[in-house]
Amino acid sequence: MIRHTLRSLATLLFAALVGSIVVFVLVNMLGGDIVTVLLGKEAGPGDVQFMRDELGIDRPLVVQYLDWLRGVATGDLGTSYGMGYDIFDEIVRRLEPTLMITLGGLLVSIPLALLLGTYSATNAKKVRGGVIDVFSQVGVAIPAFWAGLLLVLVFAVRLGWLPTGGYVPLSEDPIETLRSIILPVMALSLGVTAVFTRYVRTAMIDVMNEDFMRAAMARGRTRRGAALFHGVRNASIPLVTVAALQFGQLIAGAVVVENVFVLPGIGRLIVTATLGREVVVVQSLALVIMLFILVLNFLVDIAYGFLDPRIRDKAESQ
Amino acid sequence: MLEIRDLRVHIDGHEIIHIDELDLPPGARLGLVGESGSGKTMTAKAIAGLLPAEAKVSGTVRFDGNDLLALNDAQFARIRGKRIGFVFQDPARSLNPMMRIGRQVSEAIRLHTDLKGRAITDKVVELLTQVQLPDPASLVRRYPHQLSGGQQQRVMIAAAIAADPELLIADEPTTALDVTVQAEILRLLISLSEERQMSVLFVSHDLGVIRYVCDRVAVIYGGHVAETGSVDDVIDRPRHRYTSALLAANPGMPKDDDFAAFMGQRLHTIPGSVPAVGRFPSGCRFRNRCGHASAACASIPSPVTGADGHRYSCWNPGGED
Repeated sequence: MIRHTLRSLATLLFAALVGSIVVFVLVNMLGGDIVTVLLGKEAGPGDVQFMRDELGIDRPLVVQYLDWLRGVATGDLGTSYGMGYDIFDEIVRRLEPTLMITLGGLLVSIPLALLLGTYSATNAKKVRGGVIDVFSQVGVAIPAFWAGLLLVLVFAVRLGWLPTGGYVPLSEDPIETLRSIILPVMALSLGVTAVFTRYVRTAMIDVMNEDFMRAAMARGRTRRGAALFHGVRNASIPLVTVAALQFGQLIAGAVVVENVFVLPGIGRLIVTATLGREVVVVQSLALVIMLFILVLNFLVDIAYGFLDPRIRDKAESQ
Repeated sequence: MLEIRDLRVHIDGHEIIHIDELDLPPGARLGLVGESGSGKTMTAKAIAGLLPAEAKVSGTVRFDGNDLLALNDAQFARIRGKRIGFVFQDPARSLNPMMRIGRQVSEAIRLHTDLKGRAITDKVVELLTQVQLPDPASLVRRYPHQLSGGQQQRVMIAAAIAADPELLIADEPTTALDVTVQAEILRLLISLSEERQMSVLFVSHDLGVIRYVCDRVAVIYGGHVAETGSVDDVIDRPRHRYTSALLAANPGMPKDDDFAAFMGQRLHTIPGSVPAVGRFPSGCRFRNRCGHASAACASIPSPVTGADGHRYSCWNPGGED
């Protein structure tokens, strides 16, 4: 178990390093001259050169990359060219709404999908199971921004129960925080729940046909008892993988949903920073998102070992 | 102990099994024998209520006076594991890969008895000792993939007899195992059955194995009982043409002095293969593959019963009483 964990950790660190290089290179290849953006086309050559020196963008890429990495590590990424905010502080400040809606989305969609998928699997040949299949088909097809607009129209504009957008930080008023994320979380979870429901259904149907399920029934388990005590854990291996992949979907969805609901999160910052050619901001945000996903994959790796003794033994013997 | 009357299994509108009459006396060991696809395994699973939901089962299976087929899932679950144990063909697939051995062996004990905590562990260790597994105390904490095939099947047997059932159904319990391990498992099943006065329904395609383990046998073909009786009657004095064909297809054992002759002998095969579901001929189900079929075979043969319950359904029986 310890060796398995250490190996996963080493993979995580290596992947993060490679990923940071890829992010840096890609963003710097995007093109667009920041100096022209800042000074305008009529700026004299002397001013332009002064600005380039000031920003340090004439230095070799390797130096710029290392400088950026040191900034990430020390929490000093400089200030935004256009808006003048402190980049590191701004990213940290904007993590909260994004984490709230993505984790909220996970918290809503995974249990819901487990429930719906298992129900659909145990009633696979009946109308009750079919209704859930139709729901998940429709859910997959509805885009998050459209679902978001629809939710705003009904619950915020027509009924007036919830705010149309904006975000109240947890430290100010937790109740308002919850109210402000309900609609975004709903819009975000819809598609993820639908997709995950289908995976749960397939995994449970596969497991229900396993010989050991019949063996459990032969020892006196009812069908439902066998599904609960033997099925869920065996179905969980493929589901954990899919859940981690779905988290990537949630972050992508967050960019859209934050813009629909005007939430001051990572997703909105990405859009404004990209439009403003804020190279350091964009590459730092890309790094943050990548780290999110890498850490999640690391946790999934560890979870495999906990769930499946065969994987644990294999990792130990290597 | 077990009285089967008019047991029928339908899947997708096809009648797969029709066992008109078959009894298992208390303490006896009854073998079900037949080719792949003959319906022997499905018969065993129908008796234990372990067929998938799409199989429609009708008729009566009296177990100690109660009709098993009249029970719902929850009622049946109270009998399975407690009074009827079941051992499956493939132990590697029949053990839950994510659950410790001890947990699986103790499952029937937890479900059907009042034992708690320490007493359960003691009982599990005692069971593992009974099925002759080494170091039972540490075995309970291990997982199925850490055991060999033979050990896994011993664990399955321990789990099946954990709540002291009166009947053990063993569905080809040695087919997936090495030949040397096979003999050990068969010996174990026989001695457990004798020590515990436990009846056994033993499913196999191997008449030699059946003769070794059982005292009675039913030859199954196309979901019907072709012939049944004591092992000696059926194997030494077969009447049904299918039984003789099955026996002829068995090469037996080489004699010590003449291995070359054994290897050189022509093997008899049964012509054709078991028809697909719904493709069996009318009348006697074996007649399209039988060397002795006549016009009479187009109608269903009625069973003939001889001495010691030796019963067969054949229009042109071989041998003599």
